[in-house]
Amino acid sequence: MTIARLQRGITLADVLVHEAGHAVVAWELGVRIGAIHVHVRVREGRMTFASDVGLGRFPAGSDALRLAIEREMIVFHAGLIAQKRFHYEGACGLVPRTDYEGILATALQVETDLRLIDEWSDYAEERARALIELPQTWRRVEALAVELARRPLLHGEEVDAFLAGVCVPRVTNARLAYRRREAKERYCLTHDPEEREPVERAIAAVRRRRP
Amino acid sequence: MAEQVRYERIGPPRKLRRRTRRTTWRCRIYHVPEERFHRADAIHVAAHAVVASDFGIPIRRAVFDGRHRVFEAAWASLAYARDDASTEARIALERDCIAVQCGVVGRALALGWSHKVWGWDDQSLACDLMERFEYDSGVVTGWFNYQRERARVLLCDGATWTRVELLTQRLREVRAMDGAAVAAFLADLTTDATVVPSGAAWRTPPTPGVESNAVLVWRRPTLTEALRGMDGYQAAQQEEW
Repeated sequence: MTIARLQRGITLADVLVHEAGHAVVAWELGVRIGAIHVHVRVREGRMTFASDVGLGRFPAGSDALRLAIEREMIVFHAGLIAQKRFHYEGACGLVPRTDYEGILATALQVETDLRLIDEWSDYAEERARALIELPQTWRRVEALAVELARRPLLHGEEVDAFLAGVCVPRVTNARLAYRRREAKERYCLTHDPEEREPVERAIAAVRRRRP
Repeated sequence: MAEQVRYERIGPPRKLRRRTRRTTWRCRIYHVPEERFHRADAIHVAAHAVVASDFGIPIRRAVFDGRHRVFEAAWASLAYARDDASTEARIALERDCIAVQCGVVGRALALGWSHKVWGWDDQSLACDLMERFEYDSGVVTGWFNYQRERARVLLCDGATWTRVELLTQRLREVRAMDGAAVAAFLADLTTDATVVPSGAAWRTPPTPGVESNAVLVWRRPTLTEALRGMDGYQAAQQEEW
């Protein structure tokens, strides 16, 4: 089965959550967002960000450069992770080529060993997952996805202002919360369609209200 | 009518049955009295020392006297508080863990995976250090694998491996060195040529006793495999030898 065929199963809400995932994680990690643009009719989205790595702000071979690359890899991975958390079946088997090519191009700036890049990418993906699964991050992703349905084009400053204003649940002790959740469910990605229903309803309501 | 299967007959003969409930075993590879294992042990300690020295981690002592192999250092990440999320803490932790992993990787490179290489103590130390800052087990595992690959890339570099080999020889002569001695030895080192490890670090050997005959195998494709358009079955097939 090809990817194009699989992509038919992607809904507008999936695309919005995917782009919101990129944006929220970039915001959390301090990566400057350029803009988010969603083509609602063709169900396609794009988020741009200012790459510190590309601008050559760090000395070659430094740990600061590696960490900056790692941050950007996490941002690239966050889209699919958020989409999977939102609608797992819809993202099954999906390969986001643009995101993956971005990861490879970024990592190739300091490493040439493909095996190392694969492991690095896996590690960045795990970090993106851990970040997305935090309740406050996920609340922001959902809120931004609904906002993107209202305004399909958002500039970086607008995203920053919006995310800063979202009311999120406060987690007092993340380590303890994680232990409790880990004991409760072994595999953390949610597969419960009931959880995505409110977001899908909100997006649909916003779309109906649009002129 | 089919013959009844007597289930109690299936299984190992009575004499070979396990006597205890123990399921894990410490690897005794370190006590094999053979030159290549002695050399691999010494390389294990020397690899820790060279990489720790490169990263500026203070070394306390490195010992290799045939029976004991000890490497002690003042791990930089322990200077940071638990759950410290700062950049400096993460860098220090990553460097510590790479230095820890270099031992097992160096040993693997020395033996060329002709034998299984385990490093329970090192692995536990790396995990303990990581768990001070990271509580998600998936992240810890991913980070661990990434550090191991970085250790491999570091040691496969000719300049590093040459110093490891020379320090190994020195360590086998003097049997024990403290941090100052290691630093002085590495600083005074001059070489005419470099050597690279003769063996490959990782591979999945087709050991008939270990590999099963299962046919349908799926593995999540890695980033580069996914970009090459491979699915999980093709990725798994690539590992079959």
